[in-house]
Amino acid sequence: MRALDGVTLSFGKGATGLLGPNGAGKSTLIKTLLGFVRAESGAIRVFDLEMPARAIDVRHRLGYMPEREISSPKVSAVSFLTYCGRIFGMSRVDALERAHEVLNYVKLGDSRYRNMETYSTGMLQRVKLAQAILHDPKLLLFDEPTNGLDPDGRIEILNLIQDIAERPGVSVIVSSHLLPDVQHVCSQVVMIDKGRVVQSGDIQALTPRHDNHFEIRFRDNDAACVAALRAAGHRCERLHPGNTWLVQCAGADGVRTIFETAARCSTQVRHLQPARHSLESVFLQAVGKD
Amino acid sequence: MPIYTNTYRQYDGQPRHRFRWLVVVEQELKTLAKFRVFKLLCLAAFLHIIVRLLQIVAYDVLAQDPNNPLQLIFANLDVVEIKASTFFGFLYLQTSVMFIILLYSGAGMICNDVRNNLMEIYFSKPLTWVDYALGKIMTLVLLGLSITALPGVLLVGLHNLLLPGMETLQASWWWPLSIMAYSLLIVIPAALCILACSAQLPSQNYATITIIMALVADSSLAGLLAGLLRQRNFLGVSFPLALRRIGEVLFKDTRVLFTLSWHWCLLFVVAVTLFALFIVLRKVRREEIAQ
Amino acid sequence: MTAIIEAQGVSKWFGEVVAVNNLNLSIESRITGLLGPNGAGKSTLIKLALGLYAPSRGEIRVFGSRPRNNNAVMRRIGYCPETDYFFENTTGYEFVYWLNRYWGMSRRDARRAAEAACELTRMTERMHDPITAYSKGMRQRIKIAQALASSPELLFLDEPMNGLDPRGRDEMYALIQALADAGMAVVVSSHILYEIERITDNIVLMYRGTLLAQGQLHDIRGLIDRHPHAIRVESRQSCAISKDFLDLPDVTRLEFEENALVIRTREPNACYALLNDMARKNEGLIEGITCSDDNLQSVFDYLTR
Repeated sequence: MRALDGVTLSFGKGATGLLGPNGAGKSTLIKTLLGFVRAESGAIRVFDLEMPARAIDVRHRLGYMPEREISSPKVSAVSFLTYCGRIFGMSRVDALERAHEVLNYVKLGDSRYRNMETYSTGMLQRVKLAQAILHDPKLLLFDEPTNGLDPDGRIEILNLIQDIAERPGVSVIVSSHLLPDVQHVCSQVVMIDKGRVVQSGDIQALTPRHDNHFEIRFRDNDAACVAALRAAGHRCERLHPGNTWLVQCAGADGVRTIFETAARCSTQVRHLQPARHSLESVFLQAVGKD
Repeated sequence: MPIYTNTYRQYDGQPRHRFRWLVVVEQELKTLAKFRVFKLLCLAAFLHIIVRLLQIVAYDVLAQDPNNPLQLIFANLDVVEIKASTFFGFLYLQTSVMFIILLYSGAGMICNDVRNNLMEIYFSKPLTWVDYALGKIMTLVLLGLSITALPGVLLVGLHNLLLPGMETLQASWWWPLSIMAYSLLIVIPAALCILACSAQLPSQNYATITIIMALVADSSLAGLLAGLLRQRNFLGVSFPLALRRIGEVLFKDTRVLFTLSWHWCLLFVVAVTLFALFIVLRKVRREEIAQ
Repeated sequence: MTAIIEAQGVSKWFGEVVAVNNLNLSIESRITGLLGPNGAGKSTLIKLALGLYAPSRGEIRVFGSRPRNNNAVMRRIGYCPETDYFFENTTGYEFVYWLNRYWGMSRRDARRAAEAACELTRMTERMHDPITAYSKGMRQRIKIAQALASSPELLFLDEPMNGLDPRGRDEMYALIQALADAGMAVVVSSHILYEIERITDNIVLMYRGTLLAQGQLHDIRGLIDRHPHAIRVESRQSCAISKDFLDLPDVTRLEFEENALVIRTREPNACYALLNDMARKNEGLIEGITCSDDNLQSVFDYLTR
C-alpha cells in the first residue's frame, strides 16, 4: 500500500494544521519534507529547492520538533543547544548566545545549567522547541507539540507557537491529534487519510455557521423549555453533558422565541451561541468517507 | 530606546566549516571528560607512558653516564635497553588499557542516542549520516591513537634527543612507522567493533557484555583448537594474537608465538574491520531513514 | 447513591516526597473525571484505591472495605493503566484470555469472558491478530477489554485517550458512555481538560497531592467567590447596551471588545435577567451569550493561582 498517493500540497505563510488518523501518511509526509524519504514520483520543492537532492541546504532553514520524548543525560540544556548550534555551522560564541536567547524565549530558567536527566516532561518539551527555533528557521514542523503537558504548559507552548507563526516570513506546520490545539494556533488545515488529501483550506471557511442552529443552555427547568420549543416546531437535541441543547429554529425570529419560551417557563437563558460546524465533525466526515 | 520584547533575533549566518564531523567529535569528548571513571582510565594509560619515559631516561642518560652510581645497575639490565621490541612491548601492554577506554567511551555512543530518541533531532539538522558515523568513529580512533601512537612516536623522538648521534638515528628511523602502523591496527578494529555492537544492541550494557563475550569466546576457541589439534598456528584464530603476530613482523621481533604467516592474520583483521564498518554504516543509514 | 470510594485523611509519602496529602473525598457517581497536572497525585490515588499501596496515614475504603490485600474488593475493580506494555507476540484475544485465567476463572469462563469483553470494545474482528499489528487505538481497547473481564463494578481508566487520533477519541467517548450506561462506575484520569468536559460533568480536581475541588463543574464555578463571573455578550451595539449594565449594583468591570462586551459581576442572576429581557424585546440585538470562564481551564486557573 502506498504511504502517500498523489499528494499535491503547498504550504504558505502562517500556521497550517496537519490532521489525519494514525497510519494515514502524515509521518511519511513529514519525512519527505525533511529529506529522508525519496518520493517515487512527483516533485517536492521546499524553499524552491529540489528535494531530496538539496536536503542539507533545506535543513539549514528548517526546524523540526519531533513527537517522541528526548533525553540527553549528563548534558545540560545549554550544552545541548550549543552543540545543535555548532552543527548548523555557528561559531561557538554565536551558538552559546543564541542558545541562551531561545532558552529565554521558551522560558526555561536556571534549570538550563542542570543535566537533562533531572528535567520534567514540560521542560524537555521546551528544550525540543528551543532546538527547533535555534537557527531562526523559516519553516517549522511541530509533531504533537503538547504531548504529555500540563494544562498550563499546553497553553504556554501553544502561545509560543502562535507567536512564532506570526514572525515575518515564517511558515509553521502543526501535526496533532488534538483538534482544539490546532484550532487555537492554525488558520489553515490539511487533512490526510490513507495517503490522500481529503480536505484542505481555511479553518474559518471549513467551519461555517450552521444557519438557524443555536447552542442553548438554560438556568434550570430545561425539560419544560425543551418541551415547549418542540411543541412550537423547533428541533432540540442534547449535546454532550452540561445541559447544553442544540436548537434548530424553524423560520426567522428564532432567538426571540427561545428567550420568550425561557421567560414563560420562569427561567433564564444562560448560554446562547450560533452553532458552527466543528472542525471535528468536518474531520470525521472527511475521513469517514472512504 | 526601544523596549525589549521577549523574542529571538533573526539569524542569517552562513555555515562556517566544512567538517561537521569534527563538531560531533568535540561534543563527544567534552561529554566524556565529565566522567570520573574516564579520567581515571586515562590516568592509568598516562602512568604507563610515564613509566616508559623514565625507562628511556634511565637508559639514555643514566646508563651512559660513567660517573653515575646507578650506571652499573642499568647498563646490565637487558630490560632497560631501548630497542624496537621495547616499543612493541609498550604498545602491546597499552592495548588492554586502550581497549577498556574505548569500550567505556564507545559502548553507549550509538545505542544511547537511539534510546533517547535523539536521532530525529540530529538528522533534522544539516548533518548527514556520513558526518555522524565519521564523527563517532573518529572520536574513538583519535582517543585510541592519543594513548598509543602519539606517545610512542614522541618517545622515539625523546630517545633520539637524549642519545643523539647517527647510530641512534640509523637504528630507530623506522620505529615511528611501525608504531603508527601497529597503533592503527590495534585501534581501528577495536573502535569499529565496539561501535558495531553499540549500533546493533539496544543498550550500553548489552553492547559491553557482547563484545567482551565475543573476545572471550574467540580466545577460548583459539586455545581449544590449538590444544586439541596440537597445532600452535591455530592460535591465530584469536584476534589479539593475530594482531600480535603482525606486530612481531612489524617490529622485527624474533620471539614469535606461532609461525602462521602474517598475511593470514592481516586478512583476518581486515575482514573483521570491514564487517564492523559495514554494520555501523548500515545501521546509521537506516536510522536516518527509519525515523 | 452510596459512595464507592471513600478516603478519609489519606496521606501517602515516599521518603520525603508526599504524593497525597491529607485527602478527604468520596466518589460515587457514574462517570467521574479525575483531573490535575502531572505530579498532582492522581496515579497514587488510583493505586491506593486499587490496594497496590497502603496509605501511610488515614483510611481509604472501596465498596466499604479496605482494598489492600482484599481479594473480594479487587474482584470488583478493573484497571486500565497508562503504560503501554503488552506481550507483543500474543494475539489480543490470548492476552485477555490469559489475564482472565490469572484472575482465577476456569477455562470456559475465561474464554467466554474474553469474547464478551472483545465484543464490548468492538475488537471482535481483530482479536485474533498479533498485538504488534494493532494501531494505538486498538491497543487502548484491548487494555480496556482486559479490565472488563470480570465484569467489574468500578473501572479505572488512566489516560485512555493518549495518542489516539480524533476518530479513536470519538470511539473512546462512545465506549465510556456505553460502559457507564451498562451500570459501571468509571473513573477517568487525564490532564487534558477539554476531553473530560466532553465525557462528564462530575469532576475531582487534584493539585500537588491535595484535593482542590469536587463536584459538578458549574457548582464549583459558583463557589469561587474571589473571581467575579465573566459574562461575554456578543452584540453589534455593545456600547449602547453597556449603559444599562452600569446601573446594576454588582457589576465590577466592563470590558469592550470588537462587537462584544465582557461583564464581570458578583451577581450573575441579575445580569442574566437583564440580558434575557433585552433579547426578548429586540430581536437580533444579542447575538451570543457565553460565560467565558465556566470551563475547566478557567476553573483550574482560578483554583491554582
